[in-house]
Amino acid sequence: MSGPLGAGVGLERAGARDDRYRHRMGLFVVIFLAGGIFGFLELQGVAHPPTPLFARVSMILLLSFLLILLLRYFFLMWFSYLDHLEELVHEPEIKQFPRVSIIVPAYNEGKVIESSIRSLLELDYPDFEIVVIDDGSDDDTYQKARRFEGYHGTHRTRVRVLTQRNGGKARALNRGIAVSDGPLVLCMDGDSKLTPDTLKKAVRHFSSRAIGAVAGNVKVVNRGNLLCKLQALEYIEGLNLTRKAQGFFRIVNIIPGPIGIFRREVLDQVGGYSSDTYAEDCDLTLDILMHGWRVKYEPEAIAYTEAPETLGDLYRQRYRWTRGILQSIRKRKGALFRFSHGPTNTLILWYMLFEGLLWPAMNVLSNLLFVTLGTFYGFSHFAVFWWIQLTVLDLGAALYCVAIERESLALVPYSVFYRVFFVLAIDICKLLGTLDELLGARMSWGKLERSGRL
Amino acid sequence: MDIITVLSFAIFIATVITIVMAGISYAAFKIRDWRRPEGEVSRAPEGAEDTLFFRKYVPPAEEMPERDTNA
Repeated sequence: MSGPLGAGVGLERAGARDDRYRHRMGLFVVIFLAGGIFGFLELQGVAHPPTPLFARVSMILLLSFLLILLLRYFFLMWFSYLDHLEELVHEPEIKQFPRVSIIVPAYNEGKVIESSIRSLLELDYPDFEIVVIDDGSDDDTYQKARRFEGYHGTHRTRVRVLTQRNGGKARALNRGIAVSDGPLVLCMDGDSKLTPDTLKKAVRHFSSRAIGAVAGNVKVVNRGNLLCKLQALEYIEGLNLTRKAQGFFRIVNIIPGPIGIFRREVLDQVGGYSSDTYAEDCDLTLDILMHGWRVKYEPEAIAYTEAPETLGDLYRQRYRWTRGILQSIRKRKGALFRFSHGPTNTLILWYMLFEGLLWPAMNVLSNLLFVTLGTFYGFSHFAVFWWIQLTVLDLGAALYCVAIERESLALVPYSVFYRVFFVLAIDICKLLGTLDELLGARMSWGKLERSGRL
Repeated sequence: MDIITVLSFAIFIATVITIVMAGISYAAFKIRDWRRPEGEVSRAPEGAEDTLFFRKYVPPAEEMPERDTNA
């Protein structure tokens, strides 16, 4: 077990005192950011009045972007904080332990499949089965997985391993769902590893009949280089913060591939995973929401996964996500303008369009504008103050998220590179992916090379 | 040269480098994708093949080999 994962698994539950501390710290950060942000905005508007027309227009655009950015951060942090409070006050109790079927689709996961299955056998839950579906791997995934076939542990947990001709993740998952029998189904990736109390934490939300699925918390296990550390931070600050805020309203719009728990009847209703988009997890989640079910986020149902270690691999992954999400929205474009599936679902689709299209475009344009103003129009003060305030904002958000998620404080300093390098690089990829999707460019699924660090 | 100018220059350089790296990564990814054999490239069904839903799915005999003893 590598360092970060060992540390993550070993994290013990903090006591009530610790929770109170985090609670206060979270509230302080939210208030600090709200006040600081608007102060900065006010100062910036009067500090350096621009002269040329281009500079004036750019300034107005930049300030508008900044306002949107601040509002986005503020609302995400506020609602995620409310979700955190709700958990503290009304922690759902687990009254029964329904059987859970864990489906593990695996394609060329030979390097990690054994440790992945081992982590599942260590789950602290009385009644579950594991179904591994080898999706026609070229390597020894099937042979390695088969060694685990049979019954394990005091709860006689059954492991089954099936193989099929390569047909994609959606088909592998669907087959696993079809041959399993638990009323709850956990779908994961073959390269993911779950923490022992994942099932207990996730299953308790199903005591509410409205909840159709629970999204887990994905964390990066390989944190060796700068890119991986930035992704670890992004998973906490970018993806999980959004999920937590959405979780407050029970409208999480993407149940991540590495960990999602579903009611079987929900999967029956929506017809399981479809393979006509490149983001089957997003597509399925939208289906579930459109059928009137609610989706919750559980931060303590943790799956560790390997993140891409090179910019090229990261681009391949994000390019696929971007196009997959756009395809999923396009499948439901009618609901963008009609409330037939409920106003909440329409709102979710518009929010996804904002995050997928407007937000990256805004970020890239604002970076270009402020660098141009700083370099060619003599507004270097403006550029520097802009960067400083965004960095302060990112640092504050990173602190808040690290506190809420009980993550390593060592990640916080990397937020200095977050805005100027990472977010810009990812947003350029999103824009190019969007452009290719609009133009109908061909693409392949692509397979991330595993380093076997799980 | 004051600190503001230095910082401003550093931000400019970092932004330009990021944009160039992003462009190169995207080009490299597209070239790799373009070189793949056609059959491998287009995995998403295009009309000819229905989306596979698990309730409709009955694995063909050849996909359920004898080695699947515990199924």
